[in-house]
Amino acid sequence: MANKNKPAGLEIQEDMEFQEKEWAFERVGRWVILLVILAALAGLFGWGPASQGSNASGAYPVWVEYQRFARFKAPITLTAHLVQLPVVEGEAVFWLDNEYMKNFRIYDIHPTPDSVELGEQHVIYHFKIDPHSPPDEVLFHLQPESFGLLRGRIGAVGEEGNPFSQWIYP
Amino acid sequence: MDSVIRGVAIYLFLLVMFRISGKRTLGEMTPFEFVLVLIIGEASAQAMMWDDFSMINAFLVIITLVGIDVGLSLLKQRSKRLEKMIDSVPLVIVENGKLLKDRMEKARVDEADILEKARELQGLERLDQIKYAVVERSGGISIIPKTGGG
Repeated sequence: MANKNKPAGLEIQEDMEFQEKEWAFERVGRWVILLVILAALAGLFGWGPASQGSNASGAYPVWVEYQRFARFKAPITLTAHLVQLPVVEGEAVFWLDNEYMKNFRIYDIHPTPDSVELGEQHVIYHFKIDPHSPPDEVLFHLQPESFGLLRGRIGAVGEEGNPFSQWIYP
Repeated sequence: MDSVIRGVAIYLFLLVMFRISGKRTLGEMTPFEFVLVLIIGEASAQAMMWDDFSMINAFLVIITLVGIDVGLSLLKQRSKRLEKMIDSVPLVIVENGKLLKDRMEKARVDEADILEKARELQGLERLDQIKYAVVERSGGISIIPKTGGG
């Protein structure tokens, strides 16, 4: 054998220094993949325990349960809780920020509001209430039509809104 | 504008993901890995098309992907470093019939893979008949037999 040393007759662009860096990159990449999967399971990219948000507070008569993290075009549900909302003349009325609602396509509101009023800053929802079995929540089935940080407020008429925010991934 | 941004983002993301997965992943696919690649293709297509199924959107996405690919290949010709970053480098794993175990382990190749390729490509029977085995940039294994038999 003419020459036993490595690239003797082999014309090859081997680069062990680069190869070692590549393996290091792969190792780091595998950890990143694992972390992303764990974060996704936790709900940092959508539905999951870390994503379940609520702005329940004694200071406001109406509050929402929402997804802190959601994705563009992926359906989400916003649950408005009305237990402490005063019923006036058989009607429960609350509002959501108009600017916030502009970011969504509304698929369904359950139960269907009796009427919807558009104010300068608020969308006001009116629900006829059965005094014997008043509903305690209203579900908004929404699809985000924009992304980034969305800030919303929900409130009873004439009161300051109860704030919440969501991060919508592109 | 968004079609181009989506195309670029998906291209770069897939490039990084396949570089992390290592060259062997695509070089030697099992039938199941082939199905995985099809699923990845489907998921990528949905992300690139969003819910816009117009022909113009498809044209824009395709033009963007081909454009980046051609652009990168031109850049790779000018920069060896970029070429290595994108395409990796070949790796010798057998030298004069001797396995380079450390390299094989890191490249996720075992002796059976090498012998299989030796039989398939060169009709060799034993490891000592191999002069060099190389994991190529594509992830495939090439075999150079010893001359004059083993």
